[in-house]
Amino acid sequence: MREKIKKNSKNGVILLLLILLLVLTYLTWFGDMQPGNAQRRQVIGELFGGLFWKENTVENVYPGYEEYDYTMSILSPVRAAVRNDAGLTLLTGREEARELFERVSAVLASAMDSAGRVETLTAYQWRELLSENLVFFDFEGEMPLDMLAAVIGSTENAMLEHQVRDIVLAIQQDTLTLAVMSKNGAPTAYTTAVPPAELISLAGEFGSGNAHFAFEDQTAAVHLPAEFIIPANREKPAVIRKSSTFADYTSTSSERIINAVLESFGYNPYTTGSYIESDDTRVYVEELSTLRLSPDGSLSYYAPDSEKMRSPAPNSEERSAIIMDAAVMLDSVASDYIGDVTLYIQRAYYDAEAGRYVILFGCVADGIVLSFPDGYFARLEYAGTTLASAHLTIASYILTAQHDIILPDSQAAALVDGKCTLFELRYVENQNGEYRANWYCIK
Amino acid sequence: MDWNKAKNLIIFLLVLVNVFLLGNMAYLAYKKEAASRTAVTELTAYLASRGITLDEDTVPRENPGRTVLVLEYEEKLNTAAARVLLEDSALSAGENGVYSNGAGEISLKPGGYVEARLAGEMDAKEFLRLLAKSGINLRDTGETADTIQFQAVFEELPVFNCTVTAGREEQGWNLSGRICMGNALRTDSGAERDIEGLLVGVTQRLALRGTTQIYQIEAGWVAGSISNVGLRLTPVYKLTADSDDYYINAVDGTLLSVE
Repeated sequence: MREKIKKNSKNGVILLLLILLLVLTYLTWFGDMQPGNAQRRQVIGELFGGLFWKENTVENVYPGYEEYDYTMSILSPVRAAVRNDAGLTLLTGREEARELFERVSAVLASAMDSAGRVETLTAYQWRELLSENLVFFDFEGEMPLDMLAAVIGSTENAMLEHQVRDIVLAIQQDTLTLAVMSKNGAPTAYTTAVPPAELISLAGEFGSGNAHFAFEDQTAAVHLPAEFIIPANREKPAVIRKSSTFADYTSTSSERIINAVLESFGYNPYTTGSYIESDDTRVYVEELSTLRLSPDGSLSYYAPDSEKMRSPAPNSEERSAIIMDAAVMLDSVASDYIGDVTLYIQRAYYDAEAGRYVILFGCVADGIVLSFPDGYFARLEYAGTTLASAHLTIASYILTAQHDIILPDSQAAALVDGKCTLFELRYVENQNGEYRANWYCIK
Repeated sequence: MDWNKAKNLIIFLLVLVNVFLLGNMAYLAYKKEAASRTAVTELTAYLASRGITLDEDTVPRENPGRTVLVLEYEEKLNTAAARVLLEDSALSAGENGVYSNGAGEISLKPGGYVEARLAGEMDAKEFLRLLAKSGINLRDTGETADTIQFQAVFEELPVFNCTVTAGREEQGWNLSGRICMGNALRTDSGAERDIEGLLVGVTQRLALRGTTQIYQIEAGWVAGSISNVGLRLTPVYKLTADSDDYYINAVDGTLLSVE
């Protein structure tokens, strides 16, 4: 009996020690002790996940989500406003504007799909529409409406105008009206078959209003576009400091940024050939494509095979694919260093002479656009759906604690001689590498 | 064969190997702790050289290893919560997704926005218990005689831009704000970085904005709506500083603007 107990005890001890061995081995190779274990865990998880169960990832459930997310970060409006019975509320934060746009985009897509009778509005009708309860999106640049419609899921929108700056969803007489305003054109309104209940409910969440349209101010109405929004208390714009990330090529952060930029353009930073020109411009060559980085941060990229191609104008699906590709690439190039600014589409058009689809990107900080000498922050040209050339600046734009004192909106408007078609604050660079805001007007 | 001796030998070898592995783990744990202490010390020295003061004890020592998550909007979760809050196990959504019966009315919209009116004589404690039962994860952050402020919580960390206010009315409670509920889906964003590296990455921006002292660093989330899907939860660290509050995206190190 004792022998049996002794034998079973030893078996038990061996079993326990074996289990302990397995546990300790697992913790050593897959626990949190060593930095490399996280990757090991992920690989094993994906291996067994693929064999035994379908991993619960967003790409499995919503294919194309990642591209949609990058695209929306650039496509979303620069500013937005909501009017309810209590007043007009202006949202100048890009994140706030995007949040509102995401919440409204299903209604907007339905409105685009059901867009019916079209009417060019007179100035009076435009002001009447802006007086209703509404949601107002300002994209700052010229947004290709059919491409935006494709991204948000609208499929039957052939009737819609092509390049717009503002989109309005207004509640008029218990119906939802879709209106758009292009940069230099007249406002256009479409009837829709969408019930306004959802928009009414969303508009009701906003507070008592912090802004009004220019046409609601006697002085501003004379000089400013009707849809210009005047906040009740405009915050003093912060001064922006621009710094070149390539002032010192040997610093670790500059190297990291250069490698990320190279990878975004399809170069292998460890095997790509490079040389430095006499003006310290670094040149990278991969097959026949060339990428040049100047000490001041100017980047230019050329793919000669694509350069030689002349392609026909892309359809709306191809434009969506191009914009998504551009958005993903710009995000991977710029997000690491760009600082406190966000990108928006300034203009997207087909250059028939060159056979290229051209996308210009601008920058905005705290709802104020930055001006650049070339007129854009980044320019990407596509031959078909392939990137043929790119120009942008690798620099950081950082908001400082210093603020500028500017004229109030109405006073600035009163100084204008005549009526503006465009009136806004803009950041302009001075000789100290600072961006300072001031009023900008086009008649 | 003398199995007895063989077992003794096996036990001896297993004990040796286990002792070795235990010792190895203890050594790795010690090394990790030492590396973490060094990283924090170097971080505070780096920040001090840029004119920013940070107490070493405020720096989180563990990396939770979070990724960006998507909370998929699921009507069955909303229905389950509504049934608990309105105490009706057969309740379903009416027009426009609003749940209502004699006990009140609840609207749970995509993006996590909630508006509710709950009838009945309930004190604050009972109200909190009911909310906890419904599966809506909230943390009480402040109470007055007639209102309770809540912070939404996900995986035990606060969601900084999701707050709920409950106001006591004559006939019950009014609730409005934003919650986080849904089926969690992983994204390919990559895991979050260590806080030390994130802070070094934003030091220049903090300094330019006049920051001289960081009081607190708190891990949490920031929510954003995704049309036709639900909510995006971005892992962040909230910095409470003398110049402002900052939210650092823990995955890519960018500063988020959170209202």
